[in-house]
Amino acid sequence: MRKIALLVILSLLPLFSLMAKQTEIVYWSVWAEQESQAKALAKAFDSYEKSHPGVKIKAIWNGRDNLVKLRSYLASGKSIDLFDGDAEPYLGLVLKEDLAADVSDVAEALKNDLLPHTSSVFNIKGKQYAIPYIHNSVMFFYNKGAFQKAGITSAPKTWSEFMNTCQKLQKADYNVLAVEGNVDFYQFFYTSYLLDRLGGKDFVMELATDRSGEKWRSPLVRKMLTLERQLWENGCIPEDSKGYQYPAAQNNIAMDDTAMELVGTWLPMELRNSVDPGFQWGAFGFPTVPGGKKSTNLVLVYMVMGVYAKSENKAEAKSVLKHILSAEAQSIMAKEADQGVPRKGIQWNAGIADAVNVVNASTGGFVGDGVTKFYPDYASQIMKPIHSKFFLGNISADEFVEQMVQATKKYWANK
Amino acid sequence: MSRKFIIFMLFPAISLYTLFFIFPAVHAFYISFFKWSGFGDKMVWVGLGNYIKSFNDNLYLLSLKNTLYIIFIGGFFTFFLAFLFSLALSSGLAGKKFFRAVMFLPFVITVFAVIAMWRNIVYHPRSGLFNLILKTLGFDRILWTSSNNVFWAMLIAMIWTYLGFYVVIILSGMDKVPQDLYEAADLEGATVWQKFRFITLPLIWDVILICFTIWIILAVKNFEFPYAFGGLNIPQELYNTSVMMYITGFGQRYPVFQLGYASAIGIESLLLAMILVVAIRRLLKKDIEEF
Repeated sequence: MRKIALLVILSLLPLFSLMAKQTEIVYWSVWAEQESQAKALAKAFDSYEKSHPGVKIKAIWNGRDNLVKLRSYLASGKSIDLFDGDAEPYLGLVLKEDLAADVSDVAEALKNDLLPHTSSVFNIKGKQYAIPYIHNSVMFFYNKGAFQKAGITSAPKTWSEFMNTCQKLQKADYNVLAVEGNVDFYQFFYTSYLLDRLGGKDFVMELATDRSGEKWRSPLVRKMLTLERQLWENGCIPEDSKGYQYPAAQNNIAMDDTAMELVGTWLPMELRNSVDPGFQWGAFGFPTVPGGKKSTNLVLVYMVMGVYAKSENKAEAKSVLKHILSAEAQSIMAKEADQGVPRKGIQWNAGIADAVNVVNASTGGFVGDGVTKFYPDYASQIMKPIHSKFFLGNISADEFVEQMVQATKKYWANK
Repeated sequence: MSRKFIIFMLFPAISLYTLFFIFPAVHAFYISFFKWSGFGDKMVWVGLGNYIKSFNDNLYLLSLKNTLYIIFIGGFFTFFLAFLFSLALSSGLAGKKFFRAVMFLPFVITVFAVIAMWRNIVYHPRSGLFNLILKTLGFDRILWTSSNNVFWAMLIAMIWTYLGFYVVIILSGMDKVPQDLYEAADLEGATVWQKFRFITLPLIWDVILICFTIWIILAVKNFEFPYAFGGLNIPQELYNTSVMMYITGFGQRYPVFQLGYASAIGIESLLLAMILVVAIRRLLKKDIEEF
């Protein structure tokens, strides 16, 4: 009897040792479990576990409150290994609270595999705190059918070509630009691009960090305001837009009422169940402006993932991160979740196929508005709300400039 | 029943209440004296700094103004309509129970569903119900959810949602007033207004005071209504002090994370509610009429 017992124990020993060696990687996610991006990630994790038998990945699908929930969890003394989020809020938190480990080694290993201006934008003072795994960039997404009806044969590259496109679409009885009245960060895409074209990609940051606030009086800012106002005065943006609550404006594109929107590469995925089967998406980059730089920089709104600074399994977590950027995992994300991906050579689905050409043709990129990651309270409580008031016609250009000067001055005085 | 036994039976409930309500409130009061993001241990003592900051913060002052608008303007219209409907329903109208149930319905439906209806069906700029009515009557449409109008649009929806709750409470108070008092008043030739003013109002005064108290507390702590009405990115025009506290402490999309400051806003909201409730009860205090 004793011999039998001993035999059983000895035969089970390898199993125990395997269990003892198993590493659990805990990943806190910005996705909800039922979202297609979560399902794509879950598949990627399954394939990683198959090739790494000693590793188990535990995914917590928190949804958009991921970073908020993370705070309480970490405050209780617990630890995680991987977490993700929208690039700007993620970076804003990480830089403020020192939450992410340096993943420069991962970025270096992947640098030749990723699309241009992808990973390098997350290199801050020689360290890298995140790797983008879903590519979202902001450009004009348009209804190809509307452009055909309006007799537009090529995408505009300059501001005057853009205004001409706008006129042709109006003549073909289309509303031109979808604008959500209650989404100030969508409205700020226009500003980010115009200020980049006029003053370069660091210009918004220069305006925000001038402690006197006086830089907002710059003639380049005035020009930006004039060009934005032109969009309304020329009827490119319909008056209705002031009352649109997301997603009312973008739904008008699906209803063949409105032709296009300046928004991220997520738009075709969001509308895929609303558009007709024959609907075709096109995409083009933000035009250059008169007197401005010949820039075709892109506003990047990536989803990024990083390793928690106090993770006990950093090496393994970095290995999982590399796997998320592998050709296999990125293909699943592109095909099944209908996402743009930062890895080269992966086919994007039809709705965003044109967007790859825009990305490849761009001269560079910058993350979001450039300010949020360092000064999220300035961006969200001052810059974007005041801009939204101007954009929607509630204040004049003079009032905008004055309010920005005073608010910036007060912000830095209280800092 | 011995005292010890009573204490023993009350102990679990009191413990839970202390753990989940009293302790967090005291802890929030403590945090309000620090500059703290909520992450890590870096808490910097600022004393009354967060409270002083709030009174120099235009965004907080806007949220406070909106909260006061909800309390007073929203309260005025809610109770005016509640009395009107209560009087109508207690006048011998047929189908009283049916109408009462219908009026109460918006209060029991989930807030998000109610708001989705108002935003997408009633207030839509082109196909919304209100604009269709205006168009039919020959008026220009109104952009109800533009930034100039969105607060008032939300307040209308809020009044519509909560009205039924107060109708039910006031009506239940009115139903307890003895009918022979109204009969006697009729014999004396009293008008509808006189009956309301000299009979109904004094006899349901305690019910009215309770309604005002509940309204003030709900108006100050109301978070879900403006937050849901704001949608993807709540505009500042919809901020009340509860939303301001949440956004400041936890952020919506942006890692603002100023938990110390948010706690100070929370304490100020508590004080506002307490001051208003005490003031209302003192100003409107009168001897309770009994019948």
